[in-house]
This record gives sequence, C-alpha cells and structure tokens, in this order.
Amino acid sequence: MAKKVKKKFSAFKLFYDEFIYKENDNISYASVERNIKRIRDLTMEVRKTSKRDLELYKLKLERNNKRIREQLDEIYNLNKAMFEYYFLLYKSCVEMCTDKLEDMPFIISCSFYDDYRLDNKTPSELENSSYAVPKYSSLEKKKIRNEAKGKTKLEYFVYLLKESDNRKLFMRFIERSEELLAVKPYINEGYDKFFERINKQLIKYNNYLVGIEEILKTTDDYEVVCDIMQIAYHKKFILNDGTIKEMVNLHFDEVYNRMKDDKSLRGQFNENNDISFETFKSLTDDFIKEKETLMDAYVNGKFEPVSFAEDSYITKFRELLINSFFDSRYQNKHDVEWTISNCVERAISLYSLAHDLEDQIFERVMYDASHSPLLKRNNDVRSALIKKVYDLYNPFYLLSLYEKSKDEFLEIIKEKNQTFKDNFEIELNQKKTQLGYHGPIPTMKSIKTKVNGRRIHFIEEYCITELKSRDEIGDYDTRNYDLNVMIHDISTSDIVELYENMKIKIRNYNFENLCFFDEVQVQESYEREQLLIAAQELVTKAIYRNMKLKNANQEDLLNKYKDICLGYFNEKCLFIKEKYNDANKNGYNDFLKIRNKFNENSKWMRLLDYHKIKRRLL
Amino acid sequence: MLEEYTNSFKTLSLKEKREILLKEIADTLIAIENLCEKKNVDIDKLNSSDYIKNKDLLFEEDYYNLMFMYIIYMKEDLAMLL
Repeated sequence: MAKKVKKKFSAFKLFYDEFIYKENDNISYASVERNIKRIRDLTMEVRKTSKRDLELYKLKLERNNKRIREQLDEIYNLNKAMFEYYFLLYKSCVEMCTDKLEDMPFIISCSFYDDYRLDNKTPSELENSSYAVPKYSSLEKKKIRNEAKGKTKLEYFVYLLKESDNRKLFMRFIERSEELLAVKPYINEGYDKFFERINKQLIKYNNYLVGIEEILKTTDDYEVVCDIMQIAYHKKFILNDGTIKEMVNLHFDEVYNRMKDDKSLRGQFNENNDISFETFKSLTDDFIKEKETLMDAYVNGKFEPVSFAEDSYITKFRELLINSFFDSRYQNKHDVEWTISNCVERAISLYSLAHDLEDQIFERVMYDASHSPLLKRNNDVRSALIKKVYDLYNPFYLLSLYEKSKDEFLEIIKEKNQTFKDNFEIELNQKKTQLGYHGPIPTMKSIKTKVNGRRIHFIEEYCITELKSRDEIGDYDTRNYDLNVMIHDISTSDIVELYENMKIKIRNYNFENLCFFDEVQVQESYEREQLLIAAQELVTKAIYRNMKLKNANQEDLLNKYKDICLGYFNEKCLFIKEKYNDANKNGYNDFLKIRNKFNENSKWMRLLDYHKIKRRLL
Repeated sequence: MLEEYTNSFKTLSLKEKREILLKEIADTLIAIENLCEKKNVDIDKLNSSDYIKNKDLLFEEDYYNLMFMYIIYMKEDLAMLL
C-alpha cells in the first residue's frame, strides 16, 4: 500500500477559512469584526502584489505580516474564548502539537508568511511542495465562478479589465470591446451572414487588439486576470498572441447559438428589423420592472401620473397607457366623508371613467384588428413593443377593477338613509343633465355592450373595403383591419342582424366611389357578389365560434357552415364552393389527364416530334 | 377537346394556374427557339415576362384564363405556320 504523503498544515489557512469567511456558526465574530476586515485587506494586498519585483514583494510581505500579527494579538486579547475554540480546531488538524494557546497569533502569522513565501516558487516546485497553499480559497473560487456565470470568456475578460485599478490603460480596448459585444444576430440571420458582419466589425477591432496583451503584461493585473479566468472557466488561461481573437470568435459562436435557440421572441419581427432579441428582451424587461414599481406606488397610494421627457411614439403611448391604467378614479377614497356632494362627485367620476374605459377598450380592439396575423403583415419592432405595452396595461383588465370600485361605491350609498338617497338622486340627476350622461351608473356589462355596439357599427361602416383583400394573389393583404377580430364577442343574434345590414349596404353601394374600382376591367355585379360571399363567410364563422364546438374534422366543419347558412340566413353556403373546391386536388389531376389526351393529337406536339424536339411538359 | 381542356383549366386554383402557365410559356419559348435554330431562322428572344408581369388587370384569375387561351392558340397557329 502506497504511503500517504501528509501535507503540512497551514494555521493561517485554517484561520482564514474560519474567521475571514465567518462560516462557523459556533463563533461569534461581532467583537472582532474590525480586526478580521483588516486582516483580510492586508492579505489581499499581498495577494495582489506582483512578484516580478521580488524585493518589493518581500518588503510588502514583511510589512503586512507584522500588521497581521498586531491584529491577531488584539483579537487574542479581546476574545480569548474564541481563540480557544480556534486552538482546538488547530490541534485536531495537527498530529503532534506542543503549541500553546498564547503562541497561536505568532504561529498563524508565521504560517501566513510561509504561505505567501511559497508564491515565489514555480508551479512545478509548488506541485512537489509538501505545503498545501491554495492561491484562492474555495469560497473565493465559488464567488469567482458565480460572477462569471452566464458571461462568455470575452465578456468576463472585459469585465475584469474594467474592474481593474489600471482600467484607464485599457480604456480604448474596453470601449471597442463593449461596442463589439453589443453586436447581436438579427432575427433569421444565418450563421455565415452573421459572421460576415462580425468580421467587418473585427477589422476595426483588430487595431485595438494589437498591443493590449503587452499593455496588460506591464501591469500587476496580468497574473490576477489570468488566474481568475482560469478559475472561472476551468481551463488554463494564458494570454498570448491570438487568445483574444479566439475569445471573440468563441463569444460570437456562443451568442449565435444561444440566440438561435431562444424561440420566445421569434415571430414578432420580420427579418428586416435591425433589433436583436436581446435588445428587445432587455427593453421589455425594463417595462415589466417599471410596471412593478408603479404598481407598488399605486397600491400604496403614492402613484403620481408619469410624464416622460422622450418624445418618441412608443414613449408617449406608454405614458398614456400607464396613466390610464393607474387612474385614481379606479379607487374610492377612504379618508373622505361621504356627504351628498362628495357622493355626486364620485358618481360623476364613475360615469366619466366608464366613458374613457370604453374608448380604451375599443382602441385596443382596433389595434388587434389592424395587427392580425391574417393580414399577412409581419409586425415591425414598434408594433411588437406596442403589443408588449398593451399586454402589460391591458384595458380589458380594468373592467373588473371598475366593477369592483363601482360596487364599493354603490354599497356606501346603500347604507345611507332614504332621505340621503333621495337628495343624492336629485343632485345627481341635475349634474347628469348638465354633463349629458344618461341612465344608471354604467356596469362592466354595459361598457362591454357599448364596445360591441361600436364593433358592429365599424363592421357595417367598413365592410366594403375591409371584407376582402384586393390582392388576388394573396401575397399581401390590402385590408387595414381584420373584421374577424372585430366580430369577436358579438352575440349570435346581433351577428344575424349585422349580416342583414351588411347585405343591404353591399347591394346598394355605388362601387364607382371606390378608388380601386375600374369599370372597364371589372363588372360591378362581380365585385358585389364577391363581397357578399366574404360577408357570409365572416358571419358564418363567427356564429360557429360562438357555438363553442369542439374541433371538428374538415368535412364536419364544412357541413356545419352549410347548416349555419341555411338555418340562420336561409341561404346556400356560397363561400365553401369558392374557397374549398380550390383545394380539391382531383381537379389538378383531372386537368393533367385531359391535357395529356389533348396533347396526343395536338399539332404542336406533332410538330415537336417531327423536328425531334424533346417534349417537356409533364 | 380544346373546349374540355380549357374548361378543366378554369377549375384549377390560382396557384396551379400560375404554375402551369409559367411552365407553358417557358416550354413554348424553348421549343420555338429550338425550331428556329434547326430551320436557321433568326429570331429575337421572345419576351414573355411582359405578359406575366402585367398586373394592370384587377383580377388575376381572368388574366390567367385569357393568357392560357392565348398560349394554346399561339402554339397551334405557330405549328401550322412552321
């Protein structure tokens, strides 16, 4: 059996782990906090000292050791019990020990000196040394690894240089590196294309690479940075020609692969938008944090309407939505005495709030209808950001807040006596007449009904231009709004009525008023017929959705559409013939058969055969 | 027969019509060029793209129907002439 080589024990290492990191729950460090901090600083000072100038290093070592000894003596005198505990720990680690408790500060101090003196040895000397002197404690290593987590080598390298005392020397390199680090792959950008773009950037960057390793080597940071990088990435890190370049390539390779796998934001942009996933993500993350802060303020009654200095469309839109989302009218005041005039004022504010909320919800519906995926327009960055803001400050959510607040207020009125109620009614009615409000205080349901009324009116108003796209090939939808979105939430009975009105409008419409209409090319009757078909399709599908049936197969679905047309409108289903016969593959096969038959006797094919020209058609 | 052939074309989807037409035009042009070469006839290259790119007509379906007719007749007449 091989003899186990026992490493000599470092008293200082034990002290450092137990005291500097304060890991031991059995020790109360409070009285010696200041001393421990001082020892840590002195140790770090030695650790950070470059050993190129050996004389200077030794001088610092001697001086700091003396100071550490002073601190240890002070600790010993201040808290002897603590030193006793440490003494026991020490003795349990050392086999033969004749040391006494009062010798401990001296022993620790000597072992510190020993530990750091060993720093002067070469790696192979250290390897064979009987001393176990780690340059970094396990806790320090853990801290370094945590710090480097999620960072690529290049990112962490730049970060370390930025943190260094000599950062001024590296400033130009740091700035250029940060510019380079900001380059991210575009949506749908291929690997080669991305690197083609990176290489263009690298041409500029290369000028700063030259010499940075040399500059680094002239400072004390060289060893520190190399050591930390080695710990962080578990690989020997030596800065030599090409290391930084290699790091750059690795960085972008990693960034590209990470981005490619991030599907969370895919589909929000078209490929021409020059915004990266990360920029968008960080921007929207900021929006989320902002909402959290504002929400806290609102809940605690400290919300002040925001006003952003930036004059961009998104910022102004965000400002508007935030202020309407955190509208103080959604909260009943608790510190107010509910006199008749206060109650009237509150009731009127609920009327105006309901009116505003109705507008906000309808605007949201309009936005969704104009950004529907059916319109075959990829959303641009602005739309994606607006959608994110809309999702955060969704006006539909406010409906329930409104309802809650209104119910709370009505409860207050309910508790009042009859005379109060009568007087309140009289004053409120007067105020309502002045301001043009009618009926009882709106409810969540009545707001929804009003919004739906506006949806119906919009569909009726714009059915001529918005029912169908004018691009017959279908590459680009020429409609501005998707009426399928507008018709959502409308009851079946309203849809039936809406369809009747649409038909009247389409039948009576003078198509010459349309800018795209060219009577030379198009028959008015054809245009009318196409619109009626599109209208039927719109309403039939909306009724089908309202039925909330489980997913049917294609055949059942078509039969259901036919049933709806017949049952609700007493009409033949026109749109199925129009749309779905096209999908019938038999038509294409039949055509090919007839064509082959035709070609057999055609003069054209005979001509080709005669001149020995190859027949090319399938 | 020709009527049956053209009617069956009318039942196809726009995508299918487009594909067939493009193929027909390309086919015709290559055949004409080959024929002319064999007969030592000098011709300028036929510019079929003018027909394909002409989107002034509002309904592309009508345009394709007409285009198809045009090609069929053109090939037949051309064969007779040659």
